[in-house]
Amino acid sequence: MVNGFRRRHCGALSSRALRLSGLLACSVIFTTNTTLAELQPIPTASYELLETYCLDCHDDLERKGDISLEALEVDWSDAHSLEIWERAIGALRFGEMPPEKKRQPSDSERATLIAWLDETLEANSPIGGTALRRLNRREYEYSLRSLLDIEYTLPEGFPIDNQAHGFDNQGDALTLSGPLMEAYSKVATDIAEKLFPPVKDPVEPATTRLNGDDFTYAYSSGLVVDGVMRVVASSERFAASAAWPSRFEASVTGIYRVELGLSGFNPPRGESIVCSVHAVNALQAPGEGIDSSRLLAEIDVDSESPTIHILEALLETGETIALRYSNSTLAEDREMLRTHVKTLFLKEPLLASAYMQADGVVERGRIGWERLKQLMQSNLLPEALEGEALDELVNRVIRNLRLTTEVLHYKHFEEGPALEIAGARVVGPIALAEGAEERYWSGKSRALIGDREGRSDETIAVDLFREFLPTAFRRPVSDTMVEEYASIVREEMEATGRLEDGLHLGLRSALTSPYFLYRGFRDGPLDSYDLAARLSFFLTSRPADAKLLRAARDGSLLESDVLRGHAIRLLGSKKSTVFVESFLDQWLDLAALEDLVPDRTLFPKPKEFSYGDVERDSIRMEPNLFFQEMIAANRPLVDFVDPDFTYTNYSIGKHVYELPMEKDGKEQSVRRVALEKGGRFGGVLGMAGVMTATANGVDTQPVVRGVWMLENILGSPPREPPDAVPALTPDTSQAVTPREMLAAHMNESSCAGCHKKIDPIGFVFESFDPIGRWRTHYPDLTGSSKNRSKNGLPVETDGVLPDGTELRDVRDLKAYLARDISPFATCLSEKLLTYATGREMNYSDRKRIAQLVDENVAESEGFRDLLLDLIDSESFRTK
Amino acid sequence: MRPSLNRRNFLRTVGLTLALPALESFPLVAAARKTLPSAGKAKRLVCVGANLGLHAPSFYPKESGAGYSETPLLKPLMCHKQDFSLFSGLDHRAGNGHKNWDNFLCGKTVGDVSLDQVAAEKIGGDTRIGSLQLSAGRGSFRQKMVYNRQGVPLPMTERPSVVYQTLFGLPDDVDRTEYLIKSGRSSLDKVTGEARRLRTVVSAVDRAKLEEYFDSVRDLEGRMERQLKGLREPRPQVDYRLPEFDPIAPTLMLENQALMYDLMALALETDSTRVITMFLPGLGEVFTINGEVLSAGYHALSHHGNNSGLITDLIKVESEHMRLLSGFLDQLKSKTDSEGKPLLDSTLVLWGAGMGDASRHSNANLPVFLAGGGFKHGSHIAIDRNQSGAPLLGDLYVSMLQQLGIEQDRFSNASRNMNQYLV
Repeated sequence: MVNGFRRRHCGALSSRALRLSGLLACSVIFTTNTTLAELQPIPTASYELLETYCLDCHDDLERKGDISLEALEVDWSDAHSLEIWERAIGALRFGEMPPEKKRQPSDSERATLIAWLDETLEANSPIGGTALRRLNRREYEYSLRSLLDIEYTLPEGFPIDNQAHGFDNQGDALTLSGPLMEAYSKVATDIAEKLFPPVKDPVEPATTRLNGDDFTYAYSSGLVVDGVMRVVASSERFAASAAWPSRFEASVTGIYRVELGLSGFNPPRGESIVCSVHAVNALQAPGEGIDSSRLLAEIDVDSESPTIHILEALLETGETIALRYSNSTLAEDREMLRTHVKTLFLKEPLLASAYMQADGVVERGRIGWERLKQLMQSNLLPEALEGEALDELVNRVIRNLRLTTEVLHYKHFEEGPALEIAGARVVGPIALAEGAEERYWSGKSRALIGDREGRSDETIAVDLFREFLPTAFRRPVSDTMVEEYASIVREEMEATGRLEDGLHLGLRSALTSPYFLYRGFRDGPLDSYDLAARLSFFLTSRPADAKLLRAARDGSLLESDVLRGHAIRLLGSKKSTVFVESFLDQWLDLAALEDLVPDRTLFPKPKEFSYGDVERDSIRMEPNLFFQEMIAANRPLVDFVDPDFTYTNYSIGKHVYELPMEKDGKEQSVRRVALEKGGRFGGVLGMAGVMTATANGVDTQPVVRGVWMLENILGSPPREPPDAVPALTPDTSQAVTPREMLAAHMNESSCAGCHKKIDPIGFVFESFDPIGRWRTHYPDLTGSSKNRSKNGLPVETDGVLPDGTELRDVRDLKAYLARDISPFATCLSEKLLTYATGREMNYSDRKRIAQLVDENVAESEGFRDLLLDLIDSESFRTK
Repeated sequence: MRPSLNRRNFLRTVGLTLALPALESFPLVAAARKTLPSAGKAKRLVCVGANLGLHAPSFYPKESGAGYSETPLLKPLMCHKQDFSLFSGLDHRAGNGHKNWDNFLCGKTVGDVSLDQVAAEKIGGDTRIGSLQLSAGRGSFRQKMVYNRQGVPLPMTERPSVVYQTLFGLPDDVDRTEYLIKSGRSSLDKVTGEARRLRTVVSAVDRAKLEEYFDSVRDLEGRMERQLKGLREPRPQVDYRLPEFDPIAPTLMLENQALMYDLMALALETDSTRVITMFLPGLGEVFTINGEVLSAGYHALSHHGNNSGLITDLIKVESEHMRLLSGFLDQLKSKTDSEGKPLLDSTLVLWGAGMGDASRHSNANLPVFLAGGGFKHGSHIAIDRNQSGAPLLGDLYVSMLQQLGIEQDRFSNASRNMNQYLV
């Protein structure tokens, strides 16, 4: 519950984290150990040692550190006693206990206690026991997509999952509730309605008559003059060029007959005006443009009196038609506007003079045009500008592209050239038709049903479910089960006579079935099907693909080589990006980056560098690309801490990582860059995304980063703080550094135990500001000016780890971790297996992991080797 | 009403949450009026948020207190002077920019549960519709205004015809909805059977976990039962006709707003809901007011840069907002609650924005207008926000919630109230 720690003790990382943990708090979490208490006596030899060396402090009376080891017998099925004794063995192993100043056991006495505890803990921590695992939101969504081969996104309000052990896919936290069941049922119904829609009722065609002033527009894209709508520009955005009916939208998807009364107003000499007709959603029209609409027709309008043009077109429900003067030389486009304005100035020197008088800028829209007219009517002399003087004025005029275009609209509304819309008549639907979305779904539906030729409805239903159910339920399905689903179809068909109505209900049932929503029914070693599911949900968040299923069917997947081979295959496929992203989002807390907006005062020279979407994308992508390379290139684990490469874009590389980045025209894109080993930057420590996610956008808190490192990098999370401690809110504007404030902890023995582990690491990271830039001083926030570029107090990063290692700054911490990478590798492995198996790792799991890590280090293997070893481990292969 | 307009298809565009309206239903009670609980002096809450706010110098009088003089924007409202209060100098102390507009009803942080939803949790349960979220048309991008406790922004209905149908009509796909609920129940029977079989396969620990499935199915069955009962329940009958088409065109946003106010008044009168929010978009809408086409789009006008011509036209649009608001207050005075008292006496009407000065995108000094709800009104309460301890907009929200009978002494970053000005 380090989340809880953070929340109470140090302030929330983000409001989202708060909401999620709020959810967690009100859900019931089952522990996996519910077997009846079995008390086992502590062997006499061990008991005597405990009494001699431990119980002075850790008896029921003293309870130092809130721990009592005073007992004659232990209930090893109790999670709490397992935790206590596991901490005891850790303290014994690493020489933390008994404390230096107390009497120390001999080496053999220590070994006796350790051996007893090791054996007992292992015996009482059987590997396995993941609780029945519901698909989480991500797995459910990917399952739907891959099962039905559809593009589908869950609705925004779909319930979010609880987290446990740092991840959102843990069996014990994935509860099911009425509202969630309702959401499942709604999604199933929604998909069934799309794949197997009911028959459409015929619709009587209706006629809509529209006058010129029944057309609408946005901003200055059109204007009604004498009852006729005029449009003058060819800009791509409709809000800058088009007009559309305010009183017509297609009531239902179908073919509509559209008659348009169009004419040209003062068309350019020798040219006809082209009217483009687009289909666009009526509600969204102001925000659409030629790229987001369908072009229905291009009409040559060569008459200056209204002429009827007729077209028949498919319009989808809610769509209307938008009309543009598509060959107008006036457009919201800098080069086109340059030419347009220059041509105007050459033809109308008076206009140039007026603009000259106004210094090239007038008010937006009609007011600006009125002012130009006024200026032209005053005693201005036409100025025949040419050459550079002309270009200079044109440049000034077009500087504000949108403003000037809107001003010129009014000139052309008045004088032309303009496309005139005198009116329209729309009749329809004259025939029903499928819209783009309906076509998409009916294609998917046909693919599911298969060839109908020569097959009875009954056969189709049976075949469909014989194929679908084993994929949906992730294991072979009995004929009886297939028959049950076929009979659902049959019953519905009896009522309506349509196969689709039956499939509709059958599909809805399958998608709300416990066989679909849950996985992992059988205890013990996974059979080949459950193993296939575990592997594919681990690496791709979705059910097994055909190749994996084949290996499950013939049982070969249980063989080490085959299992590893499929793991390599999936890791190499695009589908594994979801694993990389969601694992890193949760392991490194990167999801917090979505909501974090670093304070503006952190960027005193915003023109040079500030934090925007491009920067966020870069620091968000960096860990993913880094992790992918760690796997793909099978890099040694030490590269997580001290690599010679990373991925970044121009601005983060230059301004955060202080790298000599080259301007190459692709500054925004994230590329691989070389780093020097042993430097300040590089690796997960000090990665900009990690430093940003562990700060709050405004300032940094050494305890938050220290706890974060202990939990996620070193794998030794501190206990929760005592309730009585007030949160530390560092206020660096005062002349008291966080360091001085934290010093108080060391005097308090209830704090010191953890803080001597947390603080030295936290201080090391103080040299990274809230977005990960290196700093030597805190910003000076005294006085009224919020000038963060002014240096305040110096940052002190030096400290001593509990084992006596001295740290000057992050480079020493990296070297320390690199010297013995095992603790980091073990921590990462535990996280990976927790994510993969959906349960917390216990003593036995951890023991196996430590062995795998030791072998990996001894053999100088890489990260992919370790990942494969984990996948091939007993922990992974057991429910 | 245009009968051929298939409501479900329109709703689909706003996301699945509303795809099946009948499944979305709230606790159902008979459409007949219920006697009001006597908890708070105010029983209903209406919040209106205008995307572009107001031109402050044309809205706020120079004087504070009760003896203030008329300003151009207050002109249409002066007939209600004793029934509303003006607050200047209030805001949430949040950052500037378009995105932070959304915190208008949330307090300091965008996405925290909004004022109306806090109220709806307590006073929305007794009516057919827990709360109604409206938007007077749509711009090219949409601001959000209402957030539920999970931080999910609630969709806003932009079409008067859909609002009308929700309030007073049976869903036009009532047969299909009924079929989906009924067949859904039978499919639940089927899958429960599968879960029962699974019970014999899984371990004792997982059996306990599987119980969640049975509980959830039972819960869902209950919901379906209630939805089914409410589906054909008679809706209140009102004598009101909508135009044949929805005014969703940008030039028709003020017409849309006028219809929405009418429907809001009807919704409150029929006690169909007690919590309503309405968003007033502000983009490129070019309005024709009193036969005159304004000089630029609404959004362009708001970026007036202190040009007097643009400000003149901007005030014309904003005066329309005020005129329509005044008309809404008229309706709430003439319509009565079950005890025969004017609705306004027990309805809080908040009108404001998440932006204090649209010309500069400043989110300080938000315009705040509060009417009705049994408060003591009639004054311009001018707050000096630079003074230490100056009240926040959230403090006013605390007072409003308390007036609604909701005992809550905090709202976002505010932990006091403004009762001294209102009671």
